Amino acid sequence: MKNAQRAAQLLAGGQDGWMALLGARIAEAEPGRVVIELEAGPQHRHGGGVVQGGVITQIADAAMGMSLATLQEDRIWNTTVELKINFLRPVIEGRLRAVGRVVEIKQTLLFGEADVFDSDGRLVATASSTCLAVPEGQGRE
Amino acid sequence: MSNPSTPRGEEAAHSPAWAWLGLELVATGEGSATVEMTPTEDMANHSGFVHGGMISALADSAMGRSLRTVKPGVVRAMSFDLKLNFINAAKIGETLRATGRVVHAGRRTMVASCRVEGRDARLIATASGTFAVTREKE
Repeated sequence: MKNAQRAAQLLAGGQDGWMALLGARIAEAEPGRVVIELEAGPQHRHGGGVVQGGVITQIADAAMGMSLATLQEDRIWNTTVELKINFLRPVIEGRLRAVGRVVEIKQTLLFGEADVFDSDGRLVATASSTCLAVPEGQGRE
Repeated sequence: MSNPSTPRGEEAAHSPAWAWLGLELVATGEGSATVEMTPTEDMANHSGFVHGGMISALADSAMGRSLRTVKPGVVRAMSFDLKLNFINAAKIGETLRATGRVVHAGRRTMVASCRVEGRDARLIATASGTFAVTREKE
């Protein structure tokens, strides 16, 4: 079920909570595909001088979860129950793009994938996740 | 979860496990390999569908094989991480087609992904794996 209205709402929504903290934003949203962007800088690096993996995981997770949400009915969202990621190359700075897509949607489980690219368009990480459909309001107030 | 190793890469003989599972290489491309398996009654789980471990072996094999299609060649590959999502149940006797694709070809590690499809291209599983490799000198 394509929820174009939800995709539009996501795109129009403000940058609050974790997105504000990390400096991430929803750059593109359409049913089945959401792109999250983050301008990586020193505030995202660990002691080794490269962007910490959790930061990359965060935007990949969000891109997958939101992609899935754009194919769910109103008043139903999803929460991640499992996630796996491969980090392919280090990132120091520049605009990261996490492109989420939908693999399959079942009754209660939803499967997503995401690729994360650096500012030169190189693949820096790939992720997959399994999410659980949850009614609106459960931890979403 | 290791793959057959031989310095001849492309011409590598299949392992005993390939023969035992009935795996058949049906296509290779640059960075991809397609392997088929027709599950027998011996591969059923408690529910009568194909056991996930059999599908894992198929996906691992297709990904491992796909690594051998890149240049410079891979003389040794061993999976050290394998993950699958089982999307739909597969039936005994239904030919499963696994297409492994190289996602990242590093000097020491490679990453591959895989789609396993059943009859009418129904999605059975998706997989990803990370491999420790030894590559030929450029």
